[in-house]
Amino acid sequence: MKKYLLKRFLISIFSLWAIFTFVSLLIRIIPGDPVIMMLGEGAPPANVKKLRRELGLDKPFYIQYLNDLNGLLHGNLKKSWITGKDNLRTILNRYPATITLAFFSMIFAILISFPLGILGGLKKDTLWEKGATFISVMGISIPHFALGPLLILFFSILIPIFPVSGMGGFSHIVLPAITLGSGLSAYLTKMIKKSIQNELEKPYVLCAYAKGLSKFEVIKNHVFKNSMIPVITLMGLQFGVLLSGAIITETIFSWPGIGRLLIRAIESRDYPLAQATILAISFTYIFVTAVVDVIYTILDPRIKFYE
Amino acid sequence: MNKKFFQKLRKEKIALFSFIILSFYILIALFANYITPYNPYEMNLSQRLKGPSLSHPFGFDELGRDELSRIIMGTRISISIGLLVVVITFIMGITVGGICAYLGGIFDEILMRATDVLLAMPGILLAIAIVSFLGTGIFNLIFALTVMGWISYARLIRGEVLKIKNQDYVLAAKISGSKTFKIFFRHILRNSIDPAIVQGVLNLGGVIISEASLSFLGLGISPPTPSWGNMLSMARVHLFDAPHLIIFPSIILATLIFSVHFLGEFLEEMFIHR
Repeated sequence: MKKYLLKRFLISIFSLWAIFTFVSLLIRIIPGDPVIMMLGEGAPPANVKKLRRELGLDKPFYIQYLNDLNGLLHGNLKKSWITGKDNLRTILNRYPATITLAFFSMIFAILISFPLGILGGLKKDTLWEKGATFISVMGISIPHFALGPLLILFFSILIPIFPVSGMGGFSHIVLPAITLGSGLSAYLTKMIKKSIQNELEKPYVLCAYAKGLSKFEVIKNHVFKNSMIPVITLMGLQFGVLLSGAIITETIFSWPGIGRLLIRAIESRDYPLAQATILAISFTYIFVTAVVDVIYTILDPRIKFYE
Repeated sequence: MNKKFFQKLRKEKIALFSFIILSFYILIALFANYITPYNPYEMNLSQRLKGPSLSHPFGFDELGRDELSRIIMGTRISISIGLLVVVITFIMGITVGGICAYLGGIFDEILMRATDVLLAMPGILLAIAIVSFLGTGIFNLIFALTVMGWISYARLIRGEVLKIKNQDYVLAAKISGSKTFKIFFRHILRNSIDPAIVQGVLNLGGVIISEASLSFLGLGISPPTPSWGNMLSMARVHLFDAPHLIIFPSIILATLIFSVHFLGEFLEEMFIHR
């Protein structure tokens, strides 16, 4: 177990380092001169020179890279070249909005998927199962960028219940949470259904019936608990996916989170801020994935420790 | 196999339905140039944002272009990018993944660590990162989707190859003096490729969504070339005055993804759990 945790930790560190390297290289793949790209053609040479020095692009690449790495280890993600603000602070300011959105999407997904998945799993080959499958496929089929505007159309414009966009009271979060949570609820429903069906076929269920337990007890005490292990793992892993899915949802609903920050940074060619945001999202994702992996091994000690 | 496929397909209503829809869309994509009722680029500002009518069943967009024609052209672009990316990533994934797994040792280790790192970036963030720095355009878009896409095939084929690479018939081929690569392509790949094919069909939906997402964010296909993503992005601005611009592309996109998904599940049932 200790050995596994150590290995998991090392792999995470390696991934963090690799992502950092990748993000540092991004500035190199810009076709042409990044400084000219940012300032536009025909910018005064003095400005170009100044920005180049500010971004550290006048030094050789390996020096820039080592400087950035050093900065990262000291919690310094450079400054936005447009606003001049500290990138880390900007990102931390935006983070709560994204976390809130991801959290409520998760709640929405749980509310939809648990009843559907459990019913579908227990009543195999019935209309319930078909219904669960159908709804979960619908959730997968309608992507965020189509569902979001459709929800706005029906529930903000035709029947004005919820606000069109922005962040404010609880009513503001309903449509974004549904948009972002729809895909997740589809995956969860499918997973819960499959997991319960798998467990029901195992011999211990027969044994529990043979002991004289009622159907309710068998399902509540045995089947349900065991079938939740993969479901919880999926929920954890998908929480990280929600953070990235938020990029589109936040754009649709003008939700002031980290995803919209990224798109804004890209649109205004604020490359340092874009790099910092990509780093921040990836780091969160790696962190969440690692935590989920560890929890999984604690929940189910039988799993094989990393190949 | 083909005969069996169609026999089974006829029994599964949803899969049959999906197969028909997908074929229909592919036909539209193939013959898009011939079947668009109007020129998808021709602007007619006096008609802008007008709703559906008999001569223009899907209405007009924000520049007075015929929406139906634009959706048809968009179908061609989305499906061709989808198919192209799936084919490239499929070939790349099974070759790299399969060979690394077959050679084993350090090659396998490198493959696993490399894919670990690529998978450490969530969802389409990797593609967004690449396209936003490399610049938009069809070529960059395909490149970004490819970097992300080959991993699933590589991992899948790796598992299969590890399962069969030590089986007796492989050993027999080795003993009888076959070359490593011949053994790989002739004996191992053929017996481990089925799950990857199913994955390919399922991925088609994912790639089309990714392409549309990037175009929606303004990072994929740029206007005036129509793509479902950038059409929906434009339509968002006109939700109040032209809801048809959001409804029609959404329905088309959803039905396509829907049918790809069900067809994929059907193939999975048929090839993997047989």
